[in-house]
Amino acid sequence: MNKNSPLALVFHTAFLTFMLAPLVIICLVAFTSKGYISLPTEGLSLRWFRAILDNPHFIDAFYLSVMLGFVAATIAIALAIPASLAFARYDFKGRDAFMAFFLSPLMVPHIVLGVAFLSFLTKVGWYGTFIGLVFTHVIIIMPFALRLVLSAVTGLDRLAESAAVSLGASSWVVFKRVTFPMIIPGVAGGWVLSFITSFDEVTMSVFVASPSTTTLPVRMYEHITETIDPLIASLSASLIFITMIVMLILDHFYGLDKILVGKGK
Amino acid sequence: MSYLRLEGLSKRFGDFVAVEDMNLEVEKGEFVSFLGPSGCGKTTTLQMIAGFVNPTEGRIFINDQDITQVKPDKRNLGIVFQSYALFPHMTIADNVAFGLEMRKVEKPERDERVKEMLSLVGLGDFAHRFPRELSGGQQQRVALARALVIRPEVLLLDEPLSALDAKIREDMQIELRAIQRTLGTTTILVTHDQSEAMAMSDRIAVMNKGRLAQVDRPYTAYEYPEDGFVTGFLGKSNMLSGLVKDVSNGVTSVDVNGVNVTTHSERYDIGATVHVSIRPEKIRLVEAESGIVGGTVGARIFLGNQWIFQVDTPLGEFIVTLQNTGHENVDEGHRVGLDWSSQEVRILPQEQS
Amino acid sequence: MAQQQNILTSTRPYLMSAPALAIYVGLFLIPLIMTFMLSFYTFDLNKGGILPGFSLKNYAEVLGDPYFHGIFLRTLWMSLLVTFFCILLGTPEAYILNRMSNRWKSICMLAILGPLLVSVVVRTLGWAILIGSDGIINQALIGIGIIDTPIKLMFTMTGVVVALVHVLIPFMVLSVWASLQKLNPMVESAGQSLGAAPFTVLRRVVIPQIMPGILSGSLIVFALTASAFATPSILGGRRLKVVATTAYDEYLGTLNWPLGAAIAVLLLIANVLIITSYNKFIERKYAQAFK
Repeated sequence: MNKNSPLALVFHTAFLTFMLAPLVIICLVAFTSKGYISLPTEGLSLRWFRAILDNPHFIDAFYLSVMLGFVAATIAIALAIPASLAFARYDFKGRDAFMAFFLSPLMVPHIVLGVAFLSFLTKVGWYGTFIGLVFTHVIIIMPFALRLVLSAVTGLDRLAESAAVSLGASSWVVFKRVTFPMIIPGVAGGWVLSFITSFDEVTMSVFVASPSTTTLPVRMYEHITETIDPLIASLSASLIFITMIVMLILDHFYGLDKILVGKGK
Repeated sequence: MSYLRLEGLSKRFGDFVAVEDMNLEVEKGEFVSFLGPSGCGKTTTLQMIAGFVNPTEGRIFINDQDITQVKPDKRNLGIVFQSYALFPHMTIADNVAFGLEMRKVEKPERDERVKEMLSLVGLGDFAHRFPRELSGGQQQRVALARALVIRPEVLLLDEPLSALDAKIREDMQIELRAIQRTLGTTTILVTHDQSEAMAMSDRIAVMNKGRLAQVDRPYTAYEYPEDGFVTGFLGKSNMLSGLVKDVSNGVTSVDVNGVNVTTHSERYDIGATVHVSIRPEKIRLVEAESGIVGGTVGARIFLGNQWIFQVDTPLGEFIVTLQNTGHENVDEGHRVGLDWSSQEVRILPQEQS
Repeated sequence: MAQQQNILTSTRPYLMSAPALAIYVGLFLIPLIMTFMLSFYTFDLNKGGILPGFSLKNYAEVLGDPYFHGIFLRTLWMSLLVTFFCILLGTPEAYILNRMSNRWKSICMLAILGPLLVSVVVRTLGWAILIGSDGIINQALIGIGIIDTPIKLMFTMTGVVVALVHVLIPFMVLSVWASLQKLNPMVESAGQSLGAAPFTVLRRVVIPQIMPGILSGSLIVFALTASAFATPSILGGRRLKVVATTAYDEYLGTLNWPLGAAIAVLLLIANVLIITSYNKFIERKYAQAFK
C-alpha cells in the first residue's frame, strides 16, 4: 500500500477534527458549572447532568423514543424476514417491482412523509396515538431493515438447508433450526440500525408530534429553537456517549461501514 | 435383486434435455459412480434421486418401493455436498446428530451413535468444535458422518472431494471407500474426475449429453470402451481412422493409410470405415524398422514415474507412455518403431466423439 | 444442489411479501395519495379551513410567487454548495482513508461514520454552540483578542452550509470508499510503471474509476440537502427559509395544509425526478465498464 504523503495526513487530521469538533464541544460544554454555554474552565461539574433527571419532559420523551424504536424495529424486522426470504429464494413475477417499491421510502424526503402522515393520521383518527407513531416509523426504517436482512439471507448457504431437508426436517423445522439461526447476525444488525434510525429521526416526527407523541429528538429540537443552554448540551452529551458504545459494539461485530452502506441510497 | 433402480428417468428444462431415458440397476452395497463432463446430466440425476428435482418422466425405486413422488425429507437418503453444507451455528456433534433428532431418536442412543460415527471417520475428539474451526478435509468427514449416521438407504456423494487439495483427495478416496465397505451402504458418487471414479467404484456409469454411454466395472470400461467418447474420457488414446480390409478367424484387418492394423473383433464388415484406438501405455518403442509403424520422436516429457513420448509418424502423431524403469530412453529427434499387440487395439464405430 | 421451486405457480413468495406489502400500501401509498389530493384543495380561514375541491391555486401560488421562487433558489443554491464541498473534501478523504493501514482505517472510519448514528439535532446543536454570537468560537477568538466583535456565523448561509456538509459528508465518503474497494491497487502501480506522475495517475486512472461512487454520493447529498429541515431551521432561523421549513410553516404555523401539501408534492416530484434521471445517467455512462 502506498503511504500517504504528509500533506495528505494534514488534510486528514483537519478532516477528522472537523468531524469530531461539534460532538466534542457538546461534551465539553455539558460539564460547565455556569448557567450559560461555556467551556468548563473552572472544573468539571455534573450539575447539568443532574438537571436532566429533574426534567420530566425529557425523561418522558426518552422513554417514548426507546419504546418507539423497540416496537418499530421489531415490527420492521418481522415484516422484512419473510419478504427477504421471498425475494432471495424465488424468482417471481413482479419481484423487481416489489423490491423497488419496498425501497421507495428512501426517495421520499422526510418532510414529505411528515406532511403525508400528519394528514393521514388525522383522517383515520390515529393522530396522537402511539400505534400511529409506530407505523410512521416502520415505514421510514423498513428500507434499512429490508436491505440488511436481505443481504443476510442472500449470503446464506442454501445447501445447508437442503442437507437439513435430506436428513428429514420439515419446512418449519428447517427455518427454525437452520435458516433463522444462520441469519440472526444479519437480522440483529438490521434491528439495531432500524432502532437507531427511529430513535434519531426528527424531521418527520416533528410533524406528527402531539403532546403525547413527542419523541426525544423532537423535544430537543423544540428546546433548541427557544434556547441553547447547558441542559440540552448535557442531554446531547449523554446521547453521544450511549451512541458511542452502540457504535463500538456494532463495529466490533459487523464493521460499521458494512452496516451503514445500507444507509446511503 | 437391485436395490436402487432408475427406470426411464428423464428431465427436461423447457427445450433443454438434461437427462434422457436413464435406466440403471444398482445392487445393495454397491459403489457406483456417475462420471462425465460438466453438463452431462450427472448432477441432475443425483438431484432427482435425492428428490430436489422432479423427473419429467420415469420412476425411481429403492428396495422395490417407488419413491418418485416421495418428498426429499422422507426419502431417508444420506447426501454429502461438494461444499459440505455443514450447519455453521451447530457443533460437530450437533451437526451429526441432526438427522437422528429428526427421526426422534432418544438422546442416549443419539449420543452413542454420534460418538461411534465420529470415531469411524477419525474425528472423535472434535465433537464440541464448530465447523469453522476445522480444515476442509475434516469438514468433509463431518459431512460424511452426518449422512451415514442415519443409516441411509443410499448414500449420495455430489463431487465431495473436488474442493480438497490433491494429496488429501487421494487419502480421502481410500478412506471413503474403506468406510463404505465397512458399513456396506449402497453409494452413488457423482464426479468429473475419471481416476477418482475408477479408483473408488465397483462400477462406473459414464454419461454423455444426458445419456448413459456405458456402465461397467472400471477395468472393463477402460479396456473395452464402447465408443469414442468413453475412450477419450477415461484416458488418453491414439485414434486412427481406416477401412476394414478383411475379417476372418476372429481378426479384423484395418487399412490405415497403407499400414495394416489388426484387432481381435468381428463386429464390422469389410468396407466399413472405422476408428481404431490404441492406449499410449500399450505401445512399445522398438528399432526404427521393426515396428508396425515407424516415426521420429518429436517431444519427450519426463514425469518422474513415467515418460511421455510424442512420435510423429506417417499415420499422425502417436502418444506413447513408458514406465520409468531406470534407464534413459530414446532421445528427441531419433527414429523409432512403434509396436503393439493386436489384443490391445480397439475398434470403434465412426462417429462424432 | 438447492431446492427447485416451480417458478410461476407458487404463491408462496406473494404470501410472504403480503404483510409488508399491506403495511406499505395502507400506510405509505395511501398517505402520499391523500397528500397529493390535498394539494388541490383550498384553504380559507373564513370559510372554516380546508375546502375540498379541485383547484390549482396552490400550485399557481407556489410556482408563481417570487417569495417561493426565492426559497426554491436558496434551497437549490444551498444544495449545490453543500454537494460541491462534500465532493471536494469527501473524495480525497476517502482516498486517503483507503491507503491507511487497517488499524488506522477502522479507527478513522469510526470517527467519520460514527456521527451518522447520532441524531441530526445533536450534530446541529454542536454547530450552534460553536458558531453562535456567544458561541465557543467567538468566545475563544474574543478571549484571545483576535477580534473585538463576534463574527456572525449563526443565521447565515455559511453556517448552515458548514453544518450540512458536516452532517452529509459521511455519505459521500462511504460512497466513494465503496467505489474504491472495487479498484485494483495494481492498476495505480501499472500507471506509474508506464511513466505517469502521481497526480496524472490520480487524474487519468483513479478518478475515472471512482466516478460512479462520486456521482451516487453527490446524488445522496444533494437530495438530502434539498429536503433538509432541522439544520436550516436551527442554524438558519426565520429569515433563511428553505423548502422544508416553508412547508413546516404552512402546515403547523398557518395551518394552510393544502398549500403545505403542494410544496411537499413539488419537493417529492423534484426529488424523484432528480434521483431517477441521475441513476439512469450513471447506469448508461458506466454500465459497460462496471457491470
